[in-house]
Amino acid sequence: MKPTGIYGLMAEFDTADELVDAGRKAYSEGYRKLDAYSPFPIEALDEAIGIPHTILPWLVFFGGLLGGAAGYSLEYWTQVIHLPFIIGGKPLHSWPNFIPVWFETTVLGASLTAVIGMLGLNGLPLPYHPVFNIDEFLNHAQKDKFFLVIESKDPRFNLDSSKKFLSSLSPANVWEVPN
Amino acid sequence: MAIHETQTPSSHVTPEQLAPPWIVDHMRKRWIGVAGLSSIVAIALLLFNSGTFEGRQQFFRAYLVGYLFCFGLMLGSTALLMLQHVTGGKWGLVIRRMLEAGSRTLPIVAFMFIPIAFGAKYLYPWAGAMPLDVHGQHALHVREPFLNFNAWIGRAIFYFLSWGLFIYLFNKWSLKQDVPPESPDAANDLRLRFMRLGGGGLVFYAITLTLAAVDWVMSLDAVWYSTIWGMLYMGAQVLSTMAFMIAVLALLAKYEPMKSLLRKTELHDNGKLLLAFVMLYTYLSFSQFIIIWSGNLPEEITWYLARTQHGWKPVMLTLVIFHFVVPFLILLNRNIKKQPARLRAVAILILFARVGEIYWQVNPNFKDTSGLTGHFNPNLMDVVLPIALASIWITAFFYQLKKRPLIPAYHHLVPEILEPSHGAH
Repeated sequence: MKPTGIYGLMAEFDTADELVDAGRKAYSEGYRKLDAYSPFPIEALDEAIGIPHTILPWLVFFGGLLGGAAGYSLEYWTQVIHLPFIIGGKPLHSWPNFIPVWFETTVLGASLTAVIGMLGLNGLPLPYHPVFNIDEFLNHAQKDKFFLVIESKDPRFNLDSSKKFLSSLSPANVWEVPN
Repeated sequence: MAIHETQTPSSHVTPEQLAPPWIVDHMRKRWIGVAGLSSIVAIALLLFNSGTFEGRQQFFRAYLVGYLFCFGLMLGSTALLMLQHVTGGKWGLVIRRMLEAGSRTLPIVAFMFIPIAFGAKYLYPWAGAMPLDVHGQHALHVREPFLNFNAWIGRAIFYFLSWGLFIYLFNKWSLKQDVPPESPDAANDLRLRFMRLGGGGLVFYAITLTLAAVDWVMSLDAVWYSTIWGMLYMGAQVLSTMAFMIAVLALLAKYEPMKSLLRKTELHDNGKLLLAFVMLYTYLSFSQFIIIWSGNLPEEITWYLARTQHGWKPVMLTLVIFHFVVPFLILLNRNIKKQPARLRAVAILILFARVGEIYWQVNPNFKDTSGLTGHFNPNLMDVVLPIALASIWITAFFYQLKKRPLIPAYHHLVPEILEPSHGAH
């Protein structure tokens, strides 16, 4: 299937500060389907373009709890039910001895959830993205330029007025991004 | 990093702009009041109780608890100072002058040691004033070449002199970063010197603190030993120091120059370190427990038995909750680590838990008047004297903090912390 229409409008900036300012202005203008691209993480950018907080920390927290519960159950089952064996004269359910394995499985559960959840939530790996159609983006997005994209999905998106708005932010360039 | 190098440095600040705010002096005055008041109460209590051996012993027990807390903050400051010189980083730059102020309290802390030297016979079984069972007598007979008063006091003098040498050099060299460097080469040479002294100093710290922790705390028990004890004290010192420095940093963040200098990034980094140290300390402490508990050997397990019986079990559980569970769960939250007021509250909680833990480590060693293992039986001296020592230390800290600009103005990372947080990170 041949893609049709345009994906959105892209503006190119020379510095991180300009990108953050532009993002903030676009957000206050009412645009919500925004994305920004920079060669390195910029702390204030998420907030500037209104990216919602990720739920990943909560997933990781509960993944950890689940891993811990699984590890503890495994220990309880093996040590108390399946093969009761007295070690060092201690009770079968010697919970202090269970803590190291419980801790390790908690870490395992949390870290697996973090990696899998991260990939699930951000949609990576992503072999194709419309922004790759812009040569300037391919050549500079990972090196020395900063990009802001307003997607055509945005309810306020209008090719002419949005282009005029982006141009008003004094970018180095503005492109239409084909789908 | 390439980004930073290509950017032109922001406008510079002068040491005058980085001068400590009035609150530092205000805090010093306030804490000297607390110190005076609690010292008077503690001395009155001592005079009132000085008629009996137990009464005098009570003073030294409480004194040791307060002393170990202050000592931990002083030497912990030195350790973190050396660590940040070795690793570098902006988190260390914003607390560096506070760490240096903490390290410069060494003369006070060394002076505070004198009463312990005079009271050794009330505290330490090897000093010969306490009745011992057969095991204790045998253990002390074997350990006599190491644990006798002359060797003990000689080592203490050696520790203080050698730590003092490191602290003197770090503080002396640090002044050179308050003036413009003669050349880029000179600045780099200084960084390298800091790094080398810090690296060597950390090794020296690990060895000497292990010995000091054995001398001053572990030898409260005639028989018991733990090979992780030194590491436990290192973990405890850096944890309490980090908590103290965050508490001060959050206070200073309300006033210029820190108000505009302290970015969320650096506060967050220090908060993350606090969380890491909470976990490190718990890990070390639990390691000691699980090994001794699993082995269940008579010469080791008695230490934990004394600390889980006779009313000490609720104390231990309270410590597990407030030294680990509560700070850990709160500090997991990213937003809290970026808010000075909340981070400060957690840090102060950790400091109280630290004193509680030292109390729990020290006091069950002492027999009650009944001759049994120590019961949990706190009295006014246990509260007042640690407050007196801690407030004397805090007074000295703020006195030292006032002496120098809050950040070395010509440190190579200063241009980076002057950039607003939303720019290149």
